[in-house]
Amino acid sequence: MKVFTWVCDGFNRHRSGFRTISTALWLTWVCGTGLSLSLSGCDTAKGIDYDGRRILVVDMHLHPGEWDAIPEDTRKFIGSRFPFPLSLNPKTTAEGILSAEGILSELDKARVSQAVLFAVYAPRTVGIATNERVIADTATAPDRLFGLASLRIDNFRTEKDAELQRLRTALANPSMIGIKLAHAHQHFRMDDPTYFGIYQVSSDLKKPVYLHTGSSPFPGTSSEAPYTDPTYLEPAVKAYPGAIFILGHLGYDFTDQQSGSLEACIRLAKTYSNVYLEPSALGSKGSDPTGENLKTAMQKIRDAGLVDRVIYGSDGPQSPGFVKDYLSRTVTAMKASGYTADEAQSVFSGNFARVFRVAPAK
Amino acid sequence: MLTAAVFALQAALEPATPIDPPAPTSQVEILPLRTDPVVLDQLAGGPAKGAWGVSVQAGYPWFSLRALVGVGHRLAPLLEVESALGRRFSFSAGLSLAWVDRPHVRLSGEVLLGWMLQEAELSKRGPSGELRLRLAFPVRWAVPYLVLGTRHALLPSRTQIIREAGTETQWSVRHEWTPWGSVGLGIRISQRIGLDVAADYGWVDAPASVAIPGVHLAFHFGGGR
Repeated sequence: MKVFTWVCDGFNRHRSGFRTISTALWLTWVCGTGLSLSLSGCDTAKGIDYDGRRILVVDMHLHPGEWDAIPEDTRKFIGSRFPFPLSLNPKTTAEGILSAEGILSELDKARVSQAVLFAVYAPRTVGIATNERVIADTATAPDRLFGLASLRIDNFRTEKDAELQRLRTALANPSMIGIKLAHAHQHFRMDDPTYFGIYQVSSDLKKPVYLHTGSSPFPGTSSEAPYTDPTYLEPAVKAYPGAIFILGHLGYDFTDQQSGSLEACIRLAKTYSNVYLEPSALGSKGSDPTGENLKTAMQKIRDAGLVDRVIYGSDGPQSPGFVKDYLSRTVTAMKASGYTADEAQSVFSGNFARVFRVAPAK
Repeated sequence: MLTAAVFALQAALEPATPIDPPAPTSQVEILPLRTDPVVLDQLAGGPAKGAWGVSVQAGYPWFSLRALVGVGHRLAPLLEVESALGRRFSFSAGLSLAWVDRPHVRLSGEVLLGWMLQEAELSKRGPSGELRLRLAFPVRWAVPYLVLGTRHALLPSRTQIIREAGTETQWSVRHEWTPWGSVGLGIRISQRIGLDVAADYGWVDAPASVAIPGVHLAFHFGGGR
């Protein structure tokens, strides 16, 4: 965009002479190339500048995967989120950023030092990214990439023990630092005790469990309250104090772009010391065009005294540049909400290191 | 008697000895009207009567083929075929009319109607139309130009629900808007051949989407000038 502006400006000021315009175009190209090289090659310092202080960033919510493992309707949905003309060939674009290399490239662009990749078993909605795939991806950069394991629950009533054992096996890998669940995508109620064994695993292994809360924009998801409202999670939170519950997306209503179950999330975090909050995706351009909803949410969390319970995540990579853009929007929302540099450090990396017991990248 | 007088006058007016005809002191030379170079007509629209041109454009992401022929009064029918990365196509026919045609400024308007087709993960198809303004400032062999357009496509969608009692078909139509801007520089190589390079911004499916700017290089040729 900057290059485009340069060219326009060159034409307006120098339209009477080709030589001058050629020079402007050439200089634009040279400067643009130089700028790209300097950003990608020379300055590799990680972190963000927050009120004059360098703060490391951990993005605890990224999705690796394979395009063909995503259901067709969801592929269309994801493709529609890509910028034109990348949306014309979404498979190529998606596979470019869903691979471990692609994700690392997006992290580098955003200067994020570490990230967590999610395994997903939701074959009818968002698709499948296996535990094995995530473990293999984390192995490409073991000091930067970690994983959350998941499990199939569609045959849970008959395969419960086998699935829980598979989950334990995946979590035995040191790179797998927690569990990922999405009741709305996997179609099971938050208050159904049939699945509470998953929280027992979390408690036994001291591996936090991340849960999607709020409605989902993806086709085929369950949108009723028992699948989206974390209030329904309260019996499990109470029953498993040794498990850490991270409420993803702050209960955001992605359908109507409203705060959704934010108040319930805040109440649970204030009431239970094993509840944490994660503000991913809700503040994206598509879900919160003005940025006001994310700002309001971050403000309410700070006012509630829950800054030490927030762990940053983006829900990327989604599309090229999303990880960086979401980080920028979150910083903007936090600055507007009065977060100090110390508080920002807690949100962007400190709380993650404490909860997941992961050392910062060197 | 009268005849003799006429002959006498004629003899008096005639030179005594034959000489070469004098060099003319003034001369009216009939020259063909000056015509515009093809690159100007193709980029600014509204060619003169009989002048025709074809443009072949390649770039990222847009490729196109555009043909114009002037029919008088700076009016020209035109045909366009356009593609984005070989996955999105539009086929259009329309008219181009120059409203302002001065030595260093030409402003024209275009109206096009056609069909849009996108074959990708997100397939789209439907009738399309576009209104376009073209502004150029020809100076010697350079033609800086600007194009602004507003494109519209109607995308019908059919949903069939097959029930035991029969099949129910529902139609819905969605509007896709694509504001367009190009800024570039044309280069006259000869009256019949030219080039241009430009930056394009086609915000496909605005305002809900995001679009990446593009660039193109085009070759223009023609005749009738």
